[in-house]
Amino acid sequence: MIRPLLLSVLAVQAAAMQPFVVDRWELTPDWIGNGTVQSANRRWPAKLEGAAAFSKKPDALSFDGKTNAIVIDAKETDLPTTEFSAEVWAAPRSGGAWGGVMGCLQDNGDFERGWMLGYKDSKWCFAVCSGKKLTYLTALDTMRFNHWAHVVGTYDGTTMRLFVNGREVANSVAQKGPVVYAPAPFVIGAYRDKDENYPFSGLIAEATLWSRALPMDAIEARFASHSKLMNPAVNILPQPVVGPWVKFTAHDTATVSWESEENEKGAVVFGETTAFGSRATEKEPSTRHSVELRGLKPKTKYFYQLRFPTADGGDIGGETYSLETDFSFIRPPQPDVKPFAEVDDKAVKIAEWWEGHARGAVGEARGYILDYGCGDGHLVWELAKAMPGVSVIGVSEDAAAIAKARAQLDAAGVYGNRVTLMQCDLKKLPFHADTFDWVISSDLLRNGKVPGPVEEALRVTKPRSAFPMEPPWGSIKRPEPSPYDELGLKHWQKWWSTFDDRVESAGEEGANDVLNILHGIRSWEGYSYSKVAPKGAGAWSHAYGDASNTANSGDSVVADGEVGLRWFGEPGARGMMDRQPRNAPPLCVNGTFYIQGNNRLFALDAYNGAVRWSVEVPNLRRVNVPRDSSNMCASTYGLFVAVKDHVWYFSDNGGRVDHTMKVPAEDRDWGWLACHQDSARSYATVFGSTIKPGSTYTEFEGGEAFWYDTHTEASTAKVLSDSVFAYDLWTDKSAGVIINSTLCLGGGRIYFVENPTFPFSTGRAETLDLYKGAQLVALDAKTGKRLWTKPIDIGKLGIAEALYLSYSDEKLVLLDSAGKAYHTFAFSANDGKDLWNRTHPWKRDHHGGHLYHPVIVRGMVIVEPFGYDLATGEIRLSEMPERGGCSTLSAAKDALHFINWDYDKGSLYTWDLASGSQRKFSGSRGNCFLSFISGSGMMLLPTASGGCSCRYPNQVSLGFGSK
Amino acid sequence: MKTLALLLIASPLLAADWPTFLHDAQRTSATTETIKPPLKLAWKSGPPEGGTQAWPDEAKRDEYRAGKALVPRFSFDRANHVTIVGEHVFFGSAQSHWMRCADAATGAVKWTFFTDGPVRIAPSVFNGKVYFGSDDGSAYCVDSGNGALVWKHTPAGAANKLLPNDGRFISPWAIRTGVIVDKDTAYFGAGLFPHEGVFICAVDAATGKKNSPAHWEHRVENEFTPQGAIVLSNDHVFLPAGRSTPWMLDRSTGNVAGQFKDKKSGMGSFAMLLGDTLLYGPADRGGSVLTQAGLDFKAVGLMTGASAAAVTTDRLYIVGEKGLAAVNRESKGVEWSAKIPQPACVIVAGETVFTGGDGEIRAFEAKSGRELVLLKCEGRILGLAAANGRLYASNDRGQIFVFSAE
Repeated sequence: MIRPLLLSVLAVQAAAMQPFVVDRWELTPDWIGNGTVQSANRRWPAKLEGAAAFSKKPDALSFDGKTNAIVIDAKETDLPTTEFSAEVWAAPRSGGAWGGVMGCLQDNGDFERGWMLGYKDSKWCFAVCSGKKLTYLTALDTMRFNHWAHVVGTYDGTTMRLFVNGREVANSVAQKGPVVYAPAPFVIGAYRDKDENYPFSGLIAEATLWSRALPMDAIEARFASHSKLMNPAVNILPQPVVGPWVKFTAHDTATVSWESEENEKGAVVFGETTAFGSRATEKEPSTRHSVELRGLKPKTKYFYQLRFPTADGGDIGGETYSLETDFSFIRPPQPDVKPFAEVDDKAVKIAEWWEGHARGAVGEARGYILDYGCGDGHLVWELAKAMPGVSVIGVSEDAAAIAKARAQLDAAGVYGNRVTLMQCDLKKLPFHADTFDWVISSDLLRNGKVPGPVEEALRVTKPRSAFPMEPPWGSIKRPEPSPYDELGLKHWQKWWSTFDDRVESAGEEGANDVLNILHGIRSWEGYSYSKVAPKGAGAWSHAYGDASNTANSGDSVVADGEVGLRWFGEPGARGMMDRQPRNAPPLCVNGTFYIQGNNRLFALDAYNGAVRWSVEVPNLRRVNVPRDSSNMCASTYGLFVAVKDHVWYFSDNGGRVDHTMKVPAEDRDWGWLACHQDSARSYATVFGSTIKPGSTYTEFEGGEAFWYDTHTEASTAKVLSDSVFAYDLWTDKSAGVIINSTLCLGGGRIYFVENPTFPFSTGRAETLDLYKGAQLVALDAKTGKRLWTKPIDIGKLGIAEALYLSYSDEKLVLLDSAGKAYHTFAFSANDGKDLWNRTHPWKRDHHGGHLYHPVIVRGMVIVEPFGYDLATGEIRLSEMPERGGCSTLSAAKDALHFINWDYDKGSLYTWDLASGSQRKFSGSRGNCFLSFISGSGMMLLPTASGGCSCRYPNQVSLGFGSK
Repeated sequence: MKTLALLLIASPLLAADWPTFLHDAQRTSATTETIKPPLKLAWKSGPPEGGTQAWPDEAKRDEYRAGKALVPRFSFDRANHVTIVGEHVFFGSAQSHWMRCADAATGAVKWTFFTDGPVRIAPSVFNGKVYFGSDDGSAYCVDSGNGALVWKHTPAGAANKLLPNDGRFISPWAIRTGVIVDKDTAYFGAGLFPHEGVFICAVDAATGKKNSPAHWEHRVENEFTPQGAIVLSNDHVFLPAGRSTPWMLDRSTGNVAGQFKDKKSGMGSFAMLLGDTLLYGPADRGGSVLTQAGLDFKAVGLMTGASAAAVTTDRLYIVGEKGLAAVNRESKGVEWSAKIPQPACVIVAGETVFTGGDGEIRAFEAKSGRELVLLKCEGRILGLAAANGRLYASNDRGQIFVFSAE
């Protein structure tokens, strides 16, 4: 934010420039009528092509991208030559290869003349010709559609500059001398020359031509003076308060949800083109909207738009979003066929009862069911029929029964479509441990006997699920009353009572370890059982493992690398972002593996890879996380996600948005996000920071510029916050800025690097001044009280390519990657006292070699290629394996996990630090940041190589479990 | 460079049959059996299947390559390809997990053999036996007359497990190479993930066991994944390797000779023998391409835009982005070409060349390129076969259409 004193100084400077206005066009109804356009200096006649349409607040002319343009009857000889500035306030609706907002040019291949302010490949650009060729300056970032932008091009006879929203974004000295013109129209709202016309689509409020190259301070002042009315951070289209988000709720149905301020009927228009064609409307008014889009075709892209009621009883459209049914993982329901001559009414009732139970608990059951002793296959079929989200496999030792059932199901055309049968040895099932969401037994239901060892059925049941006949969805309590009672299956109840007896006799302590596998809970309702998580299972709850940024899951189950593949599958590359842009790392907590794709979220079962739920979220994307912070974290029972100015809480069960939280400041978005639970069963306290809207990195398409691997400001500028808060508890406002990438939580405190004198103007910055005068800050996490501050002299190290802060064992580790070296500083977390520091050079300055995040493991800080003792800084590890690729390390309890890039094979590695053994897993690759994680007793890798045409064999998400 | 003889010439094939995937062990996609239009639909297999392809789709764009669209490289299981011997047609089902024999004239099912996983590649039929692999991790040999199991070989043995995979259960040692039989030896590979180890096998076709020096079985770890129909020459076994480039093994020992990985290599699961070179693809980093490489692994030719081919002694027929082209193998010159919309496959049936594409099959005179007929069909035709007077087309919905002379 520009401070008042500075603002007034700049305003004076801007006023001094007024005599240099050649002319100014305010494109409002007052200035435009009957096809003519007035201007401030009335220098030249001007005509509007096409019909005039205006927007209000602010008044602006809407250019339709087809017929509209303002043609000014000026001879090119009247236009400035030695120096000039072109200034426009515009809000583009869309972009494209070429478009102009103001200019007078001729660009005919080998004949180029004049100048132009507009866009190229949807990026603001400014072109000038002083000789034979135009030089095009282009902004790095794509234009923000439907947002106001202040765009200025200046040329002083030697230097061209392009400014967007008060910031210089490009310059060149390629042109020298006066501008050379050719006979060409002087146009506002189009890129037009003799044989080309690319009309602008969007709003233009004002355009000014100056006879001077405006200095930067004047441009800053002009931007600041108008930016309240035309705030570049605010979308000009009507917006929902929260949302939208889209869930696929049936194979042909998507539900669009959002929140509004007013109680109103929600409506959505949708179709395969932006002409839409279909409309869906809610029946009742609400502030929390859910509109179902039905009849969607598979593998099809749809466009949709929320409609907002207007005072006249109509409605107006908001932004246009898109969704792709490619990312619905719900299969069509089974066809209405009868594979068996006789319908088993008991199987039908049981299946329908459980479907209802699952629907009530999570909306729709997903995953895998095993029928252990499947008999004639009736229950397998009925369960698959009742629940389109599950696959059911029946196993039996009776080969003849299996063959008969297979033939019957196949004849009906349904065998293999989520219904599978196998003849196998029930004592040794051909499945890994922890595979099935639910293990049932038709034989037990019919005969009162489990047809094989109970231990074998329990072995393949996954943690948090239960056996037998207890579904994992929602409550795991044994149902009373249930269809089993209704069906008179007394033997089932009797069998269960043996479990109850064992819990009873084990007493309160022993009840938690029935059979060493089941977790038995006694309550006033009776007993319920679920399989315990693997002992030593850890969690990856935040981008860097935990809120302390240790990059360590603490998982001892997979630490030794003695793991095998447990599942593979979706999400594939299609729904993900490219591998390069360093997007938010995945998370794994309490058996759920959360993956952020391209504006979508996937929640997978960590043990079997089933997509439990997925959500399409426009505006979710956040990239270049090393220079910012992630937008998601997870607690025991759900996922927190920051989207613009809110955090949404997705329940682990079914992915419903349980509640949303607004950032506690106006005109701010939610930046850093963390959560903390005192225990696994307690509510989470949610922490955040406030950032300037639009300051996060979101671009990833467009090549190398969006890999964020270069050493320029475009990659290294840090996203900044101006406050930190605990939601609904306290806020700590910074006098200056907080560097997001350093925010961390540990020991009951929040820590960060702050510069109390640096202005919070652009929201992200990269200048040495950001680091001069920086200090380390510790807050009490419960109260927000500042506990200590500690000046840190990092300005002398140069501009930080990356700056990270981690907490462990009452120590803070600051890693400053600057000046071609990693500078590691350790402080006491209690008072900020210096402990030690170390510096070593980068091994390379590309492919992320300068962006490694520290890992804290076994009392060491790993900053490749060294492991420093956390307490003393002594080198304990110096023989790190050479590795290629562009990723950073992650850790489990006593192990490092990493990627050693191999073009042909793509390889993952584990390094057991306790034994020194390393294990290689060829065939897949991670992304260029952090995608290979551990948690819940699993080693996990989402498809993280989207867009890579490299020569490795597989491109799929993977889950490894202990052997 | 070693000279290879085309086994097509040497093998004692019945000209009228189409006894394995893409006709022969070299995957030439060519038969001497001439099928001449006009043709009419004789029968078609059941309702469409869905969601059965083994792997998720490629990303939309390759940001490293300026956002170019990516071409799918896993092409082996997008259709239920067929094998025909005499009056019987054999085909597997990725959805229903079986191998099936049907009457070629009527489509009446003769027998069905269930496995415990998807069957993705057409079988090989030799000496009255049907050989195929399943995603359950086993190679099977069944009697062609009644579907009775002759032998079953599971390379991973007791370690074999079925893993959850997008609603299915699949062995990490799934057999996705098909099983090709030559000189009484059955060749196949098992395994999807190099880190879990993969198996390459050459076993007695009669028993499924290793009982002569010509038989071998190796476990290879952290190297490749055999995915795509195996190609044989007299001296070598060529293994397509999923999204990657093919590998070459010594046929007599199974020892790994190396990987085709010239910088301009096409990648994916398509491979065919072209004289003493290997033609493989169907994509590289810039789009569709077939690469031709010698046995020193060096590329000797690039067919940009091409995605499938068929070869006879005198011509190479290529389909791709620009349509169909017939290339003289000696002069390398294009004898004729046809602009047809997005063809996916091509075969040669004697004097006729057939292409499959979106909802259509086209026939051309092999010598002149004169278009003979356009047959309309459901779905995108991804596989063609010709035998005993009939033309077989497999679409992307798992359906098979059989045409016979009018």
